[in-house]
Amino acid sequence: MKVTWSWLGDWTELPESPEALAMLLAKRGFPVESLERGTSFDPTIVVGKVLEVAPHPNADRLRLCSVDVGSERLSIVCGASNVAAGQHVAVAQIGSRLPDGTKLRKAKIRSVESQGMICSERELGLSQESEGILVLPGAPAIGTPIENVIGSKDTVLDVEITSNRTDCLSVRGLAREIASAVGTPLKAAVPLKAAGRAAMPAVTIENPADCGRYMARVVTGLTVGPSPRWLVERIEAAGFRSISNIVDATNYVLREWGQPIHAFDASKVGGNEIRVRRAVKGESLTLLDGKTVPLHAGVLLIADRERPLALAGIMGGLESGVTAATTSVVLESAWFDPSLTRSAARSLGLETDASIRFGQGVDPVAVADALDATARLLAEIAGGEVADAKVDAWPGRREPKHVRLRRARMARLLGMPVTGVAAAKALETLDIHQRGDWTHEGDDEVGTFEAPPFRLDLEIEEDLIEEVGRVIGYDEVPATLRASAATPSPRPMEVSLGDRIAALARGLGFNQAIGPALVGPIPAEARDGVADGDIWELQNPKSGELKHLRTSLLPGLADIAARNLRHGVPDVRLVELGKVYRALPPPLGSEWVEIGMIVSGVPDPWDRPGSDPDRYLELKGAVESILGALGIDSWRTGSYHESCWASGTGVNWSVVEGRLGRMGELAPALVGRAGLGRPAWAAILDLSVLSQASPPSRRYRDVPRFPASKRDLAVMVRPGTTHETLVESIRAAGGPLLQEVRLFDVYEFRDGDHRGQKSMAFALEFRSLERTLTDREVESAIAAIVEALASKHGAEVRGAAGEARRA
Amino acid sequence: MIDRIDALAAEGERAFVAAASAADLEAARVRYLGRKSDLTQVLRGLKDLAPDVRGKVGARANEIRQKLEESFAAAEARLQTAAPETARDVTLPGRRPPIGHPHLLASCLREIEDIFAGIGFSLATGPDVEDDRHNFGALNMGPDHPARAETDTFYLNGGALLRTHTSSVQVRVMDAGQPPVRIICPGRAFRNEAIDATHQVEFHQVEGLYVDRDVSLADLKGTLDYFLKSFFGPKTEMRFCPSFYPFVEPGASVDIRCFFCGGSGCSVCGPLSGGWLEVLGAGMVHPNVFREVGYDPERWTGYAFGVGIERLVILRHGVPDIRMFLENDVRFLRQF
Repeated sequence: MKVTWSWLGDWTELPESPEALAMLLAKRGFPVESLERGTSFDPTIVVGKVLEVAPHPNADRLRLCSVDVGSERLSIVCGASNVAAGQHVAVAQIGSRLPDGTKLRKAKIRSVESQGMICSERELGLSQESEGILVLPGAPAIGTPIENVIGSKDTVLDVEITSNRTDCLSVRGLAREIASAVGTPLKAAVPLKAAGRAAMPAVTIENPADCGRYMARVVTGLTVGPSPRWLVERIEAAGFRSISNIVDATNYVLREWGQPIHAFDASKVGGNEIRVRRAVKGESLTLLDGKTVPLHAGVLLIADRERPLALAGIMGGLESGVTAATTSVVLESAWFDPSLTRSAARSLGLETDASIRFGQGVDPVAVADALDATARLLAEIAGGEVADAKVDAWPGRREPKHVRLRRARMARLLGMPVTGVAAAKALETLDIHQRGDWTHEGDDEVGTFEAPPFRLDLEIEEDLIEEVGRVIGYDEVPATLRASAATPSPRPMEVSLGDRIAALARGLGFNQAIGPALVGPIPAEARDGVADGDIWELQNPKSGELKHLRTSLLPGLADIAARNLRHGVPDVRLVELGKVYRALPPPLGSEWVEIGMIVSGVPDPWDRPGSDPDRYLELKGAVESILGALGIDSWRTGSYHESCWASGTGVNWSVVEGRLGRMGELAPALVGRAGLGRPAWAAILDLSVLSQASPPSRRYRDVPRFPASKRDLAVMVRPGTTHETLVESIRAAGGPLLQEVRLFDVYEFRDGDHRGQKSMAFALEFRSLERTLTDREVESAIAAIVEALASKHGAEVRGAAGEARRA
Repeated sequence: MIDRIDALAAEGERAFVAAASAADLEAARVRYLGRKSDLTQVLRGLKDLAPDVRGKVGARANEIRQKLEESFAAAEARLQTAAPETARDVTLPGRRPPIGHPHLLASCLREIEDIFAGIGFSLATGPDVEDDRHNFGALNMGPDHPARAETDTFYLNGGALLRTHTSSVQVRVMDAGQPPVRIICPGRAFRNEAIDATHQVEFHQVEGLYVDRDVSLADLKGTLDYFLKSFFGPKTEMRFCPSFYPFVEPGASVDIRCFFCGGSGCSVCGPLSGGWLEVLGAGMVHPNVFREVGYDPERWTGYAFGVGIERLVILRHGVPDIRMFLENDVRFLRQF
């Protein structure tokens, strides 16, 4: 809420500066978001009249002006091109302090003395930039302090009001908080002099629940015209546009008291009768803004005998509104039901300052004060006379709310004892009065407090406890760190496993990314069979690019990789652990953590010299290293086609628990969509399957004490033969002594006798835990392997007559 | 005299050992063994000494000379074996296997989890896609609460929504069991706000909840003071100001003293704050929330707090724009 410094000052003592006020309000729970410092003018800056303008003897672009400031004539050097004889201007004299704080000193300009300065708008702090000097309109009296002509500018504070404190959405409400903090009482309103005579409208309220209170006053003999400057300044600072004195007065009171006021032209109220009633289907009303709205029974109306005059608490009608010809008004101040006002405003699409305020709930008692304030203001600024009579229909009058406060409960919640006297005193500063005295109830003392009518937020004991804390100050509450009786539970396994995987991937050179969960349309290639109905779509998206919840990390990682390549990062390796989402099953769908890895670009030629540029195997190796580090020793791999992978590159890893993950080269369509401009390889792992497959702890296995016998075996196979099937055959044939089978070379023959075949070379390790193996044992195992490879795969052992080389 | 010769010997010895090139070694030879060296001067001056002294000094000087010549020879041999054509260029950069970096948000989140784990908070998690009750209704936000307006919340089909805060996990945890409860819940939250340098539609929060007998605002202050000191450093000053969140009463916003300016006011904390930076929101769990989850508010009291992780990280590390976190520029990631 925007409010000016002097306006608050009408109602309370203020601290020494706006900054100090900002500090004080923050401690009360009302942080000041911005502060626009005002300007005021040194009284020695006065109106002067330029009598003569002569060229400067030593400078082409400067003039020598003779200026009458009333008390004397000054000779002033001026650089502005718009200066001319006969103008009325603002003159700062020697010793004047300008709004920016500088003090004007006697000075010679190009060896001619200047006895003052003719000010520009910028120099007066009226604007950031200005051209030439400010020429004052209307020939104000020479020698008048400039402040009397231009006026000063008030400091404007923008105060954040939390949604529970709607009572502070008014100058008076906020001033009450300040007064409580400063320790002075709130100032009283100026009394209204009402001595006029006028016929009061007859008011009937059809349904008291809709309109708890309806008040009216009549002001006659008004002249519609512009508002005085001080009022315009205040309402403009508050965010209103100045329209006319009568309209401005109602807006002024709205901001000052938080009470919307409506002014009807008294001559348009038919039969001088006001009926507060629901609209009937078929009725319509032309509003102040010229639009005609059809009405329904959910809308409360202010009507005269025949027709609707205004939408209660929302907006006035055009016909009954104030015009330039208006001379007397009926002022309305009322309490309309908050939820009715909200729903009516919403149904008509008309959320106005008034409807918002009524929707929050106004203070039914201040309805009277705000009405009087408006009448008084109209008498002052529009020359009106206020009739002594008034209408006050108050069918919804309610007893004040009483809230019990237990001292022990207060101490228990705040963590510090507060005496009954101190608590009551604190609450008193906020007009929360104690009713009766503290009474004993068991070991406790209980007090009863009356919530003032403007404090709709005070309903329960805890609300009062906060008020006590607020007034005493949260700084007074001690800080204690206590041990808890709650038994800590271990970190969830999946979370810990995720941390481990991230750490392993980082060790392998992958930077950790966190991508957005909200994405644009899911590309067809990345759908992986996810049906339309299984994709979450926002009903109120911010944009088409922030419309769906991601179903896979893949497209997002491709985007991030592409952006990095474009920024010149040569070797992009990223890992992300993040949630993916499905809309099924209803109502909340499902979500789980996926692990995505992506590789693209070129490795650094120095750090990874002569490395195999096969980044497919690089990524596959990284994933398999991670699986190994998690204690997952064995898995099956298989060709696995998905639309996200380039044809023939998809592969998955699976164990009995399920599919651990999958990888491949990114399909060309995805590469193109992300703008990668080069191939990329990606893997997706499933955290929940990994956590099932990863043993929680590992058992010790004997470390071998006897040496291993090593043999290398190179076999020539048909191109379709896979590594995995060969290894399975080797293991099966090699028997229990064969401890390890490692591929160390693959070669595909592109031409020559073996064209179309490939050679695979394996390093075999035979070992027993009990003894050193004999050559014969090893040779017979090798023979069995060679035999098996030949019979099952048609493989031919390369080298000297099928002899495995001794490693 | 003997002392002086011994000192010369030690000095020369060090020079020969330290010589890293043939040029170094030659300079040392001239200085300690050359014709104009101090040692040669001593030997030349022997004739002027008294006969009894002459014998002693002469013997010592010759002994030293021989030792130095040996050292010289050793140094020469050492330099020759490391002849330039076979020596490594030891200044070549090592081959550095790349090491990945954690995302700054992830590492800070982990750090925060560890801080709270150290004072007995367990980790709880909940879904990003929530229903009305967990995100609003059970948190004392009736149907008319402004946070429900479409401008703030992203809605999905069938009444589901994206949680606007991790406070929804509070409700899930309290629904699931009786007090005492001492948990934190980190996670993503979503708000339909205008995106700028300090606002992103998705961001991370850590929610904290402690329910027990006689938990007080003082305990909340103590806990957050411990947390903020752990995260921002032991000299961190904290203050509580009143604030409003529907699910707590009393409510507080928590500020720390600006560590850029030390509280004198700067562009980070702003001219009006008195040097305080708001870092999180907190308060005592509202009795209506307890009733909603079946806890007796007379028997139990509790506090809750919610921390925006991006905000803390931006403040501690000086990251200029919240959007950088989801952009994942490797040049940014690699800095941490």
